[in-house]
Amino acid sequence: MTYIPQRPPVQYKGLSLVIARLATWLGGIVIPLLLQLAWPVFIAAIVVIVAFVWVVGRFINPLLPWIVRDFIVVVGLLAFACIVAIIGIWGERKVAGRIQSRLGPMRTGVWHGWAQSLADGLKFVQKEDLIPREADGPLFRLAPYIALVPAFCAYLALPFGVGWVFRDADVSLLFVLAMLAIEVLGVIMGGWASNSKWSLYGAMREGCQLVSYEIPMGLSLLAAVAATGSVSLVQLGEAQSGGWFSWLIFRNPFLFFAFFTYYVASLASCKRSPFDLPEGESELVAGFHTEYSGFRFVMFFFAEYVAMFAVSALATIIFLGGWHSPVGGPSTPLWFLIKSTFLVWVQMWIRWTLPRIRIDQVMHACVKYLLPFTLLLFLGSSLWQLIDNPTHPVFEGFAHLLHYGLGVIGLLLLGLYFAGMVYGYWNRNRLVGQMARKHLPGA
Amino acid sequence: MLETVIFFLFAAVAVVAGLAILLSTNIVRMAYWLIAMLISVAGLYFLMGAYFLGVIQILVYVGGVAVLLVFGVMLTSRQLAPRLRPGPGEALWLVVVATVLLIGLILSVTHARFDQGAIVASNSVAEIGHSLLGDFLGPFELASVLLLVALLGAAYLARPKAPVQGAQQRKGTAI
Amino acid sequence: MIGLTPYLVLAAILVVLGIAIIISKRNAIAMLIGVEFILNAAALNLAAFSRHGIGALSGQTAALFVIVLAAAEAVVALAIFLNFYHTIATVDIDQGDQLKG
Repeated sequence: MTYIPQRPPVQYKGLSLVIARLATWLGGIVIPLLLQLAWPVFIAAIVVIVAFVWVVGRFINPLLPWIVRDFIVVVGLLAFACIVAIIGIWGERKVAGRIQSRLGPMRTGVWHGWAQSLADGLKFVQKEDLIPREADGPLFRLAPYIALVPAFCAYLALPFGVGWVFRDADVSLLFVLAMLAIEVLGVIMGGWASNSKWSLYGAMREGCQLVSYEIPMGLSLLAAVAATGSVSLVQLGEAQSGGWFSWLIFRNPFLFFAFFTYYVASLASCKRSPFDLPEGESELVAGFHTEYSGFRFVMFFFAEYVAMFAVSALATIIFLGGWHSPVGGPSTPLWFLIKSTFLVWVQMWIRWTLPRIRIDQVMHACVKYLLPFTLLLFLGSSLWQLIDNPTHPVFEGFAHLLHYGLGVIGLLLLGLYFAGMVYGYWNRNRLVGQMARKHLPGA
Repeated sequence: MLETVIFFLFAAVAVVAGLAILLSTNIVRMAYWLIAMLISVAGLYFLMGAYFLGVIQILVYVGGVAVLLVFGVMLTSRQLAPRLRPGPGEALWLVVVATVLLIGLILSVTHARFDQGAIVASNSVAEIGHSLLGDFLGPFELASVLLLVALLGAAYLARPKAPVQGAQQRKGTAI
Repeated sequence: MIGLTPYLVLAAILVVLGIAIIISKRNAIAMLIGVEFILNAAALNLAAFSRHGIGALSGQTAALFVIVLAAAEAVVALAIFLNFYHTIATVDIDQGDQLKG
């Protein structure tokens, strides 16, 4: 068969090149993903979690002594975190597969390889427990626990709904941040105790990165606290009742950007790509957990997924309205689960799309760009309270108008994003070129 | 009763951490025993009802100062398990001084009479915020200036420099 | 309910432990660890007094300032120790016996 020359693709330059690339990327990948894969992962996750919560709820009887009830709820939270990690590992492999134009696990378990995580768990448990001879024994054994236990403890203060929280503390937001901050020490300890140069490099880089990115994380959340005046997560969630336009992400133009800076900083805090240099497979073998095998490695792995969900849950409670429904219905924990799972899925999507950045670029991005920007956002959000004051409004109904207006503007911006997606999908032949078109995922 | 048990648990962890640091010879283990002590003191703050203080202790002390100490240890110790051993004369002096000081402090603390009021259950974050920007406004602003000075000073002191000629190992140290 | 005295006794024990660590260790960073013990004991004392009505809220706020100041001091101390290490390649403070450099 002879080669039939096609018309060469259009040459874009400058801004239109950027727009064309963005539209192709969005439209060539996102819509096929949404239509093909997102729904099984979502629905599976939510069905399992709801069934589990229903089963646990049958055991909690108000007549039992408080310590037994607390014990049941804590065990339930532990199991919930484990389920999140298991579904997260399976979902990550399916999402990764789809983004790379393949299917992901399909064989273990009859439907879409849902039992892949369980099979992985069995495999890891029966592996030999290897500890290097020169490694520092007690510290080597202790490190995975220090990485995993604080991530679990963060769930103690996370509300899934009003009344669906283990302990409604006055400082629950700071408590969750504190628990996520302890994880740094476990990772550094793991890298040091392995007595291996590569693990130590991974641990040092990871320590720098995690500790630096906690600051923009905290500052973005503080911008939201300045808008609401409370550090308690339940009160932050309750301040967003009454329709989608009262979500904190639309309360304030500064808070709109604070959501994105918080999300990026939390990606770095969970060691997710594009900030996953500590676990850079192509560079450091496996970074700080190189020497860990078997169940110890599983604990580090679990810690990552548990922290991912905790951080996404924090983002939904504070910025996206938590358990309130956007379309006006009852506010149930189900909405909270849907939004958190969506944010976790976006984290996975970002991981398999963007390339890794170097450690000096990571630190530059934090100190030179994110940190001043979040400081400005915090300042702006604090000053905005002078305008949006409920006791002395500028005119009657000003708050309502402001929230509605900002909500509409925010929705317009999001709509532009989707419009770009659709444009890219519609014109994918012209933008990508004939020969590559057949290899797009949706083709 | 439960409160007493939890108090003794946290107190025991803190004291055991201190003793382990005294008896240990490995600087990395010492750093992690310090972290155990910091977390148990945070637990004591939670027990007292000072929730904000406990959370700030974990965020700043454990998540900041302890990480910094661990980094310092990793940057300045040149082998995995360095040995540090005090001599016998030093150990005796240490025990004498420590015992005398301990007995004196405990006696003075148990025999003093404080006019205690009612036990404050817990303070909300709003009250602490009001006091920081009200009664304690001066120290608050001074602390922020101090933090700025410390940041600049440490960044200047720890700047990369040309290697010093003759920075060879001194005799008799393996630290 | 726990009274005031157990907290004060615990703080006293921690102070003595901190002083013992400072006296007995040659490594500069071990001395810094001892200093952290003393600061924590002081903050615990302040918070315990505040809980029992002596000084109302100022005990907790003072403990907050102690934490902030301890952080600043640890930062500067470590920078100085790094300089020390850079000059004489060890953190054994017994070797820091010359005023030069």
